[in-house]
Amino acid sequence: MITSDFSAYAVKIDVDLHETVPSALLQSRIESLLSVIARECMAAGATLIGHIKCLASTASHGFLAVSVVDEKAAPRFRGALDEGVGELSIVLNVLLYGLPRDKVVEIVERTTECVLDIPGAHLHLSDLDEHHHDGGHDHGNHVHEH
Amino acid sequence: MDVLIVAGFLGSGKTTLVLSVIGSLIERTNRKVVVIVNDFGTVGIDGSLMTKYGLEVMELASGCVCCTLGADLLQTVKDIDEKLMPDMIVVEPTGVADPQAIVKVLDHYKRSDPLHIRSAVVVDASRFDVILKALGLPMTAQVKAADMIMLNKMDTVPEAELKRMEAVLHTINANVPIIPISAVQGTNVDRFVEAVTSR
Repeated sequence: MITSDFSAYAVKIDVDLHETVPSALLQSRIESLLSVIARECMAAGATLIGHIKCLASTASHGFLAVSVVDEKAAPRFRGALDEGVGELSIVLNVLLYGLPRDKVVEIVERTTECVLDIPGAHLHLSDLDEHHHDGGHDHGNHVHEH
Repeated sequence: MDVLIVAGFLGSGKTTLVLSVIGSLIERTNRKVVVIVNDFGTVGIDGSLMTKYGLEVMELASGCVCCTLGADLLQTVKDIDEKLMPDMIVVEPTGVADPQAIVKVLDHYKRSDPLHIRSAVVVDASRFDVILKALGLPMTAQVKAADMIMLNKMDTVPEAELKRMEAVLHTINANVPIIPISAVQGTNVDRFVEAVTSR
């Protein structure tokens, strides 16, 4: 279902907290991150959220997977973060229709800096896409709806 | 060797379904199962998550398994077949993949005992009308290619709505079982396991 208006953005967000943060606060911020990205993308002109999902991993303090398919619904999650997280690696995918990829990137970067604005925390974002999945994506010989 | 393709639109619950089902599938049949996951980006989310839950997973990242990664899929199946010798491979493509194209790719894999390939397509009941309206043709193609249809997230809609959706799906593909399911709550997971293990 790659259509001309499909966009995909995969990004890794490394979070260095310097000081430990309560796990409930971290979970709340991560859920908010996905919810706000969904709302901002729809407000910016996206026509359909495909899937916004992330996996937040720690070295030894558990993991949290969060998923949003509707900007009006609460995120679903599985897993848990234990107390004492100092570093966090979040792999985030934003897959949607109706918004150019560069706009999605802009929204994700802005929202991440705002929602994960935890005192003392350092954020680093790395683009994980080797092949950008957008309207120009080449799907070989078979036909998707373009 | 059995191959089960678990396809379905983005966010339909494919990974949750696989996580819900594999455990009871292995428990019930004592089969060795390996999962191949295709995800967006160079670092996959779904494969990493399955690994955390103890599944044996091979990842195909950054591409589309039904076209640009077709050769990689064949090589991965070959490697798994030769080295791990499972009874079943579960393929979870991205939510934009065409299951029929994956079957065509897998048809090129030759072995003495041919692959027994089936496609389970996961449909999101909570967004049924929205997705059908926005992406009617490709969604219809996915459903037509299915050997079984999982109408997932049945816990989010009234029963009458489920019946209506089942009727719509029957008009697209009348000859396959349609199983309402809630992968999150585990409802009807056994029916899915039965459908998968029956020949």
